[in-house]
Amino acid sequence: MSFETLLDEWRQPVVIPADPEFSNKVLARIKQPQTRTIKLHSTLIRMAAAAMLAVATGLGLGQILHHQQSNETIDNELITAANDLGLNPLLDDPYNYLITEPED
Amino acid sequence: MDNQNWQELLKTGNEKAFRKLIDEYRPLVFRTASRFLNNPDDCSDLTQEVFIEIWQSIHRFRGDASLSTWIYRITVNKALNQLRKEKRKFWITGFQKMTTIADPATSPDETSGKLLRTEGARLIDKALSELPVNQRVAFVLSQAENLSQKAVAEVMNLSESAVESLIHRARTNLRKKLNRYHSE
Repeated sequence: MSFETLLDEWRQPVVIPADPEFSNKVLARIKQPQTRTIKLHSTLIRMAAAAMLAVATGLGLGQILHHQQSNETIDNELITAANDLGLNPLLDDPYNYLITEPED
Repeated sequence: MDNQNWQELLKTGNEKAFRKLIDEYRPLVFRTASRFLNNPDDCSDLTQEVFIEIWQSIHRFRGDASLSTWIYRITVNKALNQLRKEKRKFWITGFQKMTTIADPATSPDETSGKLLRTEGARLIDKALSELPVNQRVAFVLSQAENLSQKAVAEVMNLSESAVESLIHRARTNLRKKLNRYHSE
């Protein structure tokens, strides 16, 4: 079937269902606007999705904080070790001492 | 009731004038909606929504464009919004389907509630639904509603040359998609 034939079929007007009460229905809705009924099922699913998202966000934040804490712990341990070795951790490269041959 | 007087009456919320508007434009709204939505109930609901919107905003209609252009614009906007909502709903219903065991006795018949369309028309509808929205709107208004490029441009708030280009691209893309369906 050619493209134009398909288009001709598609162009055929759709059947518009008879509805003698249509304008009355519209006017009734205008005069008495319907309140939106809350669909319990959808609401529960949305709430569950929101809760899952909150848990996931919490876990993510927890991991970030834990990571920061871990970094702090490592830093503290390095400073302690440097102190024990008699190094000044504030120097640009405190470990240079270990690889540089002492001057005579 | 002449046209000018009728529109003035509409703006004052005259019920009789509004009923006349519904009688005159309901076919246009339903027809246009049916080019975007497949279900006749959805088309009827959308048609009601369009007339409620018209009632609520008729005072803002300045008459720069024709009344039908304005009504086309409202209809297309509402139909596209409905499609967006359906896309969002897809996630929720998809999740519901996963968590609910379907009861065959109460499952709706797949074929009921569909607009009566030929196989060829449905193929074009399917291909159209895969086109970018602006190409789809331009094509539907020009080819199904038989609007001039100028009128389509007014509805879509675009230049005539932009509309011409959209229609051309829609045709080309439709052909490609239909060829692909045949080869599958």
